[in-house]
Amino acid sequence: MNATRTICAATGFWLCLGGVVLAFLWHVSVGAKAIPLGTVWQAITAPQDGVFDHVVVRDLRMPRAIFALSVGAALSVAGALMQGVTRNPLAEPGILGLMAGATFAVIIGIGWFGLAGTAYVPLFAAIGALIGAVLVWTIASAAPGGATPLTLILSGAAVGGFLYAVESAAILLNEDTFRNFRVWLSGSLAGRDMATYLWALPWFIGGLIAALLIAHQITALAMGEETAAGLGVDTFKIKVAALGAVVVLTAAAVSVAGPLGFVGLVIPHLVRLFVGSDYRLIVPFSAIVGAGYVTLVDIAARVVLAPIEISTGIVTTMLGAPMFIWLVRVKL
Amino acid sequence: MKTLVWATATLFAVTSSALAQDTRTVTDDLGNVVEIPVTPQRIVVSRSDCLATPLIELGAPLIGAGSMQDDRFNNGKPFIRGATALYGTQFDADLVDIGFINQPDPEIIAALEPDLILIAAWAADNYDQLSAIAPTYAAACFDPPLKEWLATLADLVGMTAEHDRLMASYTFKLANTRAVFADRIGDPADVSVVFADPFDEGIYVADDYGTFTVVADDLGLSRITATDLGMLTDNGNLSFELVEELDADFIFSSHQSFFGQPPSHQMEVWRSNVPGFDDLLHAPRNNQLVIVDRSLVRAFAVDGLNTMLAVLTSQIAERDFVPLAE
Amino acid sequence: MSTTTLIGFGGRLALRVPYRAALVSLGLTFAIIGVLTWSLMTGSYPLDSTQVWATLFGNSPSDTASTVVWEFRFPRTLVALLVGAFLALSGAALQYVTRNPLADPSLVGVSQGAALVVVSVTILAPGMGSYLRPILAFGGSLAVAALILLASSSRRGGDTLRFILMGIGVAALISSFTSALLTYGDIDRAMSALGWLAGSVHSVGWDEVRWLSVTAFFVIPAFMAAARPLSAIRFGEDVATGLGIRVRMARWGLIILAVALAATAVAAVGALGFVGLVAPHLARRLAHSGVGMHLVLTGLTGALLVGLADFAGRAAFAPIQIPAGLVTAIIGVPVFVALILRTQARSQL
Repeated sequence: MNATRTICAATGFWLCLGGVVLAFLWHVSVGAKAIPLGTVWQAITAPQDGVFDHVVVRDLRMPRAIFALSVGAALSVAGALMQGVTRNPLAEPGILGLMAGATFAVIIGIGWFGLAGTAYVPLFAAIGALIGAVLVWTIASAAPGGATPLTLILSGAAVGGFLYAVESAAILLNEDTFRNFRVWLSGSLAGRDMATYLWALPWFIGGLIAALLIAHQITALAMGEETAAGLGVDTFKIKVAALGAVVVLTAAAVSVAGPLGFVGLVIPHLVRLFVGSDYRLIVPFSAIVGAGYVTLVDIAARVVLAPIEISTGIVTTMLGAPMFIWLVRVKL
Repeated sequence: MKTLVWATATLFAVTSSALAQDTRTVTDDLGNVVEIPVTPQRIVVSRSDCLATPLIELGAPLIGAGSMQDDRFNNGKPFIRGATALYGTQFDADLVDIGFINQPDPEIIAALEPDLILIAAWAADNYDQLSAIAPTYAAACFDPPLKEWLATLADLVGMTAEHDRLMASYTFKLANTRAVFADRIGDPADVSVVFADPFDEGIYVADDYGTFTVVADDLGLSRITATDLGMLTDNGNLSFELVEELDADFIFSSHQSFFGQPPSHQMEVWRSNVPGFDDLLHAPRNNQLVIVDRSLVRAFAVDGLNTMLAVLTSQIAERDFVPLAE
Repeated sequence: MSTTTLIGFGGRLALRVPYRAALVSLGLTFAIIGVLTWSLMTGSYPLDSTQVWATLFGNSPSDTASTVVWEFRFPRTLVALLVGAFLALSGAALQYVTRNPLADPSLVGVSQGAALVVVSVTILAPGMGSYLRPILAFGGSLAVAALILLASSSRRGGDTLRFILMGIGVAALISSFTSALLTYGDIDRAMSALGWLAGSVHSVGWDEVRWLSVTAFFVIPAFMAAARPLSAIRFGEDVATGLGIRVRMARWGLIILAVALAATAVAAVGALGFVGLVAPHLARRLAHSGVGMHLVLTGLTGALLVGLADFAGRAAFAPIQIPAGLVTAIIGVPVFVALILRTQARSQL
């Protein structure tokens, strides 16, 4: 990286960070209840006990905004790593079965073992994500022709469809179980408890740090395995590290918000348009832009049909699937 | 051999037509024109809440009903939503489980040889099969107001007299209760009530929620509805940010222990989603938040109305409470 | 019925196929007849086998027995078999055309299109009556398939890879609308729509048998006629072109036939997932053969699979009826994984 580029990147980074702060402030300023900006500011800077407007800002909106930021960053970085390692522009935790696996495991954990709000939720999610990823990869590489992008995506869809069928079978005979799970299954940031988030926080941080540490090698890997090996990269080790980071990030995101589709697909592509193919830039920018994106999507989810809120996951899919379609048309 | 069969069949046909009761023609909620017996003797229904429960209360000849199942209720045995909680009704030889409410087993129904089948209009894709067994009436039983539906159903099974007797008990108690309200409160419209169930995704508030709506309206209480709150549909959840709009003299929520929602859990959902909930709203502040059994709220039965009447009377009129300052 | 049509074609094509394949198809046919008989004999209504035979030959012990056998068990089993064959053939065609062993009609938008239309109508216009569901489902899946076809053809020419990926993208988009409706629609109606979608072989009658048979009569011969180009496409586009086959036309023709078969099946019974994925692989494992014979085997395997799934779904936990679609998904996928792993293990030796 030469000096000009470094300056450019640094400027861009700070600009994006500023954008995220603005998105955060916007998130806590709007909602079903109209609260004057002055009151919002007061709630942030000088909160008073017993003022419900301050409670709304500090206890209802701010945690949710923080969840949105974390989940957005985690999923986008996971998507970026997957796209780099598999050299597949359509790779993403949702498309390649990790999210379905994590969601399934969380449902089992909460529904059967009553683990809601405990340290085990992210752990369950991680095991589920790992099993999902391994399953998808095994099926795809067992198919004739090997793990091509198409085969991976199809086997991801098959694994997702299978887990969804098992979930449906479990909820089909009981209307109230269905009521309790239908919002969760569509991916939502509403009503998530702080306890789960705090348990997931180390996972978020660990995953992001790991991603930043291997970003340099991912750049080499994205250019092809031979190139990477030629540059002295231990491809197997990096692949395992990347898989670990992706699983950890997906698990953290799913245990907080359920499955939010297509975030990991949209953001890295958007970022790549501006910063090129260096993963030392793609990873941090994906994190920051992804955080802002999910925060904005969550604002829309909360205000479009106010006073009713819609699931964040439904909105991310409605926005992300057209992006997927566009990518297929343009890139393939 | 064949002659013998025909002879038997003819004989059977003659005897059964001699025994057959009078029929009448009705149009169901899907527009099917159905010829049903005036006083059916063997009734089978798919839905347990809006069909089986009121028929059990009426004492109608119900021989089969759809079931639900949950590990946490009725020892994991199939149950009739509503009737099992209200009356302890169990499936047995006289009341047969025909399978899940939305997808009953037609062969079991056939084996029961019913003379009238009632199903829900929104789960009627097996209508043709069922009507091959017996006259089948598809009812949109959640759409009409509760009291109206109970009367319609009683009429369908030819038990209007029984229904009127049951309703008379309610009407009588209602008149008495109004006197109690007049004595203690004066104008019941001065008391505001709201029915709100907290879920992690938001607060469920409906325009029309079972026995609570009927009794609150019959008593003339001021009721906060989903429409008052500007909600687009009955099925969305109100954002917790707007919880202050539920400020009323009384808040009623419901618990359903067997779906993992015991009363303590419902209070926990309120408190975890609205920090400072106990001091924020008038009702919890003054011990005027009441958690009732959801089976009672969703009971499609006159008995449910009577019990709800007793609950509202004891909670509102038969004790002192702190009115919400205007 | 389609079964006989298949065998007719199979017989003609059997000239070129190994002995084993013919034997296996005969075995499958017997198994299907076995499932049919078994399904006719079994159910919650108490009838012993002599009574069932009597009913079938017109000496029914009672009107109810006649209704149970003729109106419930018979059409239901036939529809399960037909739908199984349809989905299996549809899956096989998609796999050949895309030269990808993981293609399946339920993964590329056909089922999702049907789902969206059925769920919207059930939730937004509940008064319309559920007997309209088949027509709506058919319209929905065709519309979505057309949309995918349109979106995946471009100036650079149609590409089947793009067709599959486009299908997955459109399927995801459409599913998000469906899940919005399911999440915020009336809970009872959502449940009913979900139940229907999960594969509702339980509510079919002779009407479905009739129009499935008519479809089989017209589509399956066309399908078999396509067997020749299929076998060429399997070796790649260049080979096929070299053999003088108009590859593009054959491809799109097959995709359209595949979509039509799947849409008809979905219209009859809702979404039965993974039959199209599993049946072609299972058929290939049973006997190696040319494309024509493989299609025959695939159709028979699919029929057998769904016939068994429906039977298991209604008999295993009676009176609770497990939708056949859940049975096919829950059993089909592990079977598929096992199959594909064993195939790989063998090819590595």
